[in-house]
Amino acid sequence: MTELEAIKAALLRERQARKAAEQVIEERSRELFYANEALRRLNESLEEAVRIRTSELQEAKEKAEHATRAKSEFLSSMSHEIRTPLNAISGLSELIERDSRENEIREYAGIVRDSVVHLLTIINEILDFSKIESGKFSFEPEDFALRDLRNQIYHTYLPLASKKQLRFDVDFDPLLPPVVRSDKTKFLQIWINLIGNAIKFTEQGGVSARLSILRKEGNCLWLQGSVKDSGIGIPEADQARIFLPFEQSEQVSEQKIGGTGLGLAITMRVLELLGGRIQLLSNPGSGSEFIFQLPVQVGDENRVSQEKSDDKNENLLYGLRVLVVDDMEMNRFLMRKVLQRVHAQPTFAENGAMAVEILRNESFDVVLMDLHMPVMNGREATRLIRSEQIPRANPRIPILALTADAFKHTQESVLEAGMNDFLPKPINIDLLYQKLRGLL
Amino acid sequence: MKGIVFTEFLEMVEDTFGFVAATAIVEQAKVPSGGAYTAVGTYPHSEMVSLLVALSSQTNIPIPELLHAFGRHLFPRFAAGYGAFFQNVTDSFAFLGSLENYIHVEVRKLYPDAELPRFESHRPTPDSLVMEYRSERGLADFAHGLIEGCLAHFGDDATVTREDLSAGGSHTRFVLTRV
Repeated sequence: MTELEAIKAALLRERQARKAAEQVIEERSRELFYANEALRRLNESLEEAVRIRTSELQEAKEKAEHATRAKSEFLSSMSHEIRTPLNAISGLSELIERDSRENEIREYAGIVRDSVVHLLTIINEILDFSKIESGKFSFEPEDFALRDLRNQIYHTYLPLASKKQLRFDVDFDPLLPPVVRSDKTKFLQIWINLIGNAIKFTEQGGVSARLSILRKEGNCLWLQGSVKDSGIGIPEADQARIFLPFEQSEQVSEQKIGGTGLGLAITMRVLELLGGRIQLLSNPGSGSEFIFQLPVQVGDENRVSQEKSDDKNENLLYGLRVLVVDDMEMNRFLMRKVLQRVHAQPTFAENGAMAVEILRNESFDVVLMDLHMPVMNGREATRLIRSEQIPRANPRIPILALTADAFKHTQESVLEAGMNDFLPKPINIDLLYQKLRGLL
Repeated sequence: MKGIVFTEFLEMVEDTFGFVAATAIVEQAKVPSGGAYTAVGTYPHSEMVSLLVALSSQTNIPIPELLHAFGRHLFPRFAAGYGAFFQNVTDSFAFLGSLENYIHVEVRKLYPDAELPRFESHRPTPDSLVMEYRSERGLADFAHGLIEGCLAHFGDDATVTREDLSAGGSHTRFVLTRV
C-alpha cells in the first residue's frame, strides 16, 4: 500500500465519519425541535390553565362580594324588622311603667322595658360589627360638653349598679376642658361597653370610671380613661382573646353570663377609629381595669347643641295637632297613647298617600312620618308636601321622620328628602316630646 | 464506547505511525464501522479491542503498553475539549479525587448512555491519594496512562504505584505519592 493510497483511505474514512456526524446532528436537531414543540404546547396549556383559574377566581370574588352586600342588606332589613315590633313593646311598656297605679304592674313593665333595651343592645352590637366589617363605620366629629357626657354615663348605669348594690362613680377630672370635639356617639359607646361589662361581671364592691388629661400636643389633647371593677377578673390566657370578635373569657362561657362576645371587639375597633388604643390590667379574683387613651380636640362651647333635657314642660304640647303616618297598627296605637298623655291631638294616616289626602283638608302643627309604607313611602310623601303642589297644605310643615333603620346613611337621606329631623325606633318617649318641642 | 475515544485513538495512530499503518490496522481489524468514527457517535467496545489487537500486531508493541500510551495521549485532549471540568481545579489530586462524585456525574448528564468505570478514592495523607479502579472493561492500563497524563497536565510530580487486585485489570489500586 502506497502512502497515497493510505491517505485516500484515511480521507474516505473521514468523509464517512463526517456524513455519520451530520446524520447524528440532524437527528439531534429533530429531537430538539420536537422537544421545543412539546414545551410550547405545555406553555400554552399552562397559560390556558392560568386564564381559566383567573376567571374562576374573579367569579368567586364577585360571588363573595355579592354575598357580603346581601349580608349587609339582610342585616339592615332584619334590624328594621326587629326594631319595628320592639318599638311597640318598648313604648307601651314605658307607658305602663309611667302611668300604671299598681306597683307590681309597673315593676313588670320595667322588666319588659329593660329586656327590650338589652335586646336592642345586642342588635346594635351585631349591626355595629357588620358595619365595621364592611368598612361603613365612619368618624363623625362634633363638639360636646364632657359634663353632659359624664352625667349621661352616670345616670344610665346608676340604676343597674344600685340594683346589684355596687358602688358606682364616674369621675371626670376638673382640669378637662368643658367642651371637646370628637365622635360623641362612639366616645359614649366606649364607656357604655366598658362600664356595662364591668357591672355585668361584678357581684361585690364597685365600678369606677375615670377620665383625665394624659398630655397635650398642640391643639390635640390625649385623654386617658379607665374603667375599674372588683369583679371576677380575667385570666392571663384569655386577656388577648377577649378583644377578638365572638370570643369570651372561658369562665364567662362556663358561667353562661351571656352576650354576643362582640362588645370588646367593637370597643377596640371604635378606639382605633378614633385614633386611640386600649389595655387591660387584670388578675383573676382581683378585678379588671381597662385603660384607654384617645386623642380629641378642644371644642367650641358655642357649637354645643343646647338640648334642654331638664325641660320637662309637657304642657307645651297641649292641643298640638299631630298627623301620625304609619302603616303598622301597633305603632299608631302606641303613638295615640303617647300623644294623648300630653294632651296632643293625633290624627292617623296609614301611608303617605292618605297623609297627603288629609293635609289637603286639615291643617296640622307637625307630621310624624314613618319611612317604609305601602302605596307611598315617607320620603315620597315628604317631597310631595315640600313641592307646594298640594292645595291648602302648608309646604313648610315640620316633619319628623320615624325610622327603625339604624344605619347612619338612612338618617342622612331622611334630611335630604326634606324632613326636619328624625327619631329612631324604638321610640324613646322623652326624646319624642323633646323633638316635638324643638320643632315648634 | 464514546466516539471521541475512537477518533483520538486513530489520530494518535496516524500521527505516531503514519497513514499507512492506520489504514492497515483498520483493514486488519475489519471493524463494522469501517473506521469512520465521529466524536458525536457511540461504538461497540469490541471495535476498540479489535483495533488494539491489530495495532499491537503491526507494531509489535504489547497491548498494555499501547493502552498506557493512549491514556497519556488522551488526557490533554480531554482537558482541551472539556475545559469546564478544569475550572477552579488547581492540582491533579483534587481533580482525580473529584472524578467519581463530580466529573462522572456531569458526564452522565451530557451522555446518559455512557458506561463509566468506578473510582473510589481517599487521601490517607495530604501528599497521597489512593484510587481504586473497577471496570468490566479491564482497562487498568488505560486508566494508569490517564492518571499519569493528568499529573503531567497539572505539572505535578508524583509517583504512581499500581497493585492489581484481580486478574484481567478489572480491579486495580493506584497509590499516588507526591515527591
